[in-house]
Amino acid sequence: MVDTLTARFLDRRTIDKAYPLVRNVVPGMTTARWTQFVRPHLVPRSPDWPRGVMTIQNPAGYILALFAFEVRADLHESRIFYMDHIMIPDLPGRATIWASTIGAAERLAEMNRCGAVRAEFGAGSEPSDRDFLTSLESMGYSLAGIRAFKRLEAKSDRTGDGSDRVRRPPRGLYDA
Amino acid sequence: MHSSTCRNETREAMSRFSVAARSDAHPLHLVAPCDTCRAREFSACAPLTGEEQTRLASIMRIVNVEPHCPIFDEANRAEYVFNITAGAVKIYKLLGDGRRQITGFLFAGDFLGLIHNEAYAYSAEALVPTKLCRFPRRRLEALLAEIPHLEQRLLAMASHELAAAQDQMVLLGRKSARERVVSFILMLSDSATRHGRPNDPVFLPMSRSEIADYLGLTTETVSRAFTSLKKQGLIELLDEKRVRLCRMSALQEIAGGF
Repeated sequence: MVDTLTARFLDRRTIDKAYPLVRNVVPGMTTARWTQFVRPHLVPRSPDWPRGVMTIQNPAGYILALFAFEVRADLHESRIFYMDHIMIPDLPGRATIWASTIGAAERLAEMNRCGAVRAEFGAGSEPSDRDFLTSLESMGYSLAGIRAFKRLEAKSDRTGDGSDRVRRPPRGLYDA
Repeated sequence: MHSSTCRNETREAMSRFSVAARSDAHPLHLVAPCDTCRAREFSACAPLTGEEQTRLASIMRIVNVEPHCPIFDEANRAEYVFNITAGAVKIYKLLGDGRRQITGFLFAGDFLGLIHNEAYAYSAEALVPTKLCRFPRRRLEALLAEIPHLEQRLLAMASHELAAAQDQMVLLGRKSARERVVSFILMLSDSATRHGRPNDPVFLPMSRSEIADYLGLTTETVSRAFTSLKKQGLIELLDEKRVRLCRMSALQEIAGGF
């Protein structure tokens, strides 16, 4: 972690503050949809299996990045730290923010006795994927496994909030 | 200069240079523009050595913008990053119905155009005569990679569109119009302190309608809030643009410790 940046948990008071960052990374995202998505993440399922949203802030308290995390049971690792919805805007110095983000995730994973970190990214962060991959590789990560994705266009009304749904191009198979 | 005239001229300039604003050569530009910069101490440039300062100055150009003239428009290709060295800027987004939503105000020492997805994420317009250092984005990013402490400083202290929009979200979370207005005044006072400007009286370069737009209120509501605060002796309106803070502790209580 770069000493000028600090990792802090997102809480109910800072949901709105994070919204401009989210809107920047996911254009078209509405406040209502962001709030609806993030609120359940802030309620832990149990003390042993924490989940939440971590932010990376500068000394003035501005949020430069965030990601959602969850400690999950894993057949191979027993406990695995899962991070997704990684949102980092295109700012000069982005590589430093990436490093701080991964550093924060690893510390949190260690604190929660996880055997591995699994990072999933793509949705909403496509322009930065290549940078992130480069950063991850330099920090000892490797691509592992395959995740499949299929958008069920005909069933999209099942989301229940179709009016403000953020549209993204469909994606096929991608590494996770 | 009349606003619409300014806008037309600027749009013409943007089509040629992808940057708004009339560009005037600073009288000391060829000598050492950074030496006379009043914002330098409070900007990301402060820790630079003489040589680093020279390298940074070699890729930048000074741009003067008249009041109410655009600096760039949302969706323009984000070729440049700006550092405000004097003046004030409002940033806004265009809504689907054509209205504008002001999302922040930036001042000397703040950066502009840092946030992008190939195109600028916001539009920016000068509120008062404004001077900016303009950096080609790619060259600035290359320089940041060579001068790590400049990058550190930029991340640590720079205020920019994203930060301004986050400030706004905090303000909009305030329930009453009065709380929002007081929080806004204190936020500007705090910002002035951080940027080495006098924090009392607070300088308000924006109009009441721009404050209303920013705070999600009507102009009448904002005006009533100012009048009410004045009647209670909490503030003194020195003129349209300057507000004296008379009872700071009471104001902070209203703002909820903003």
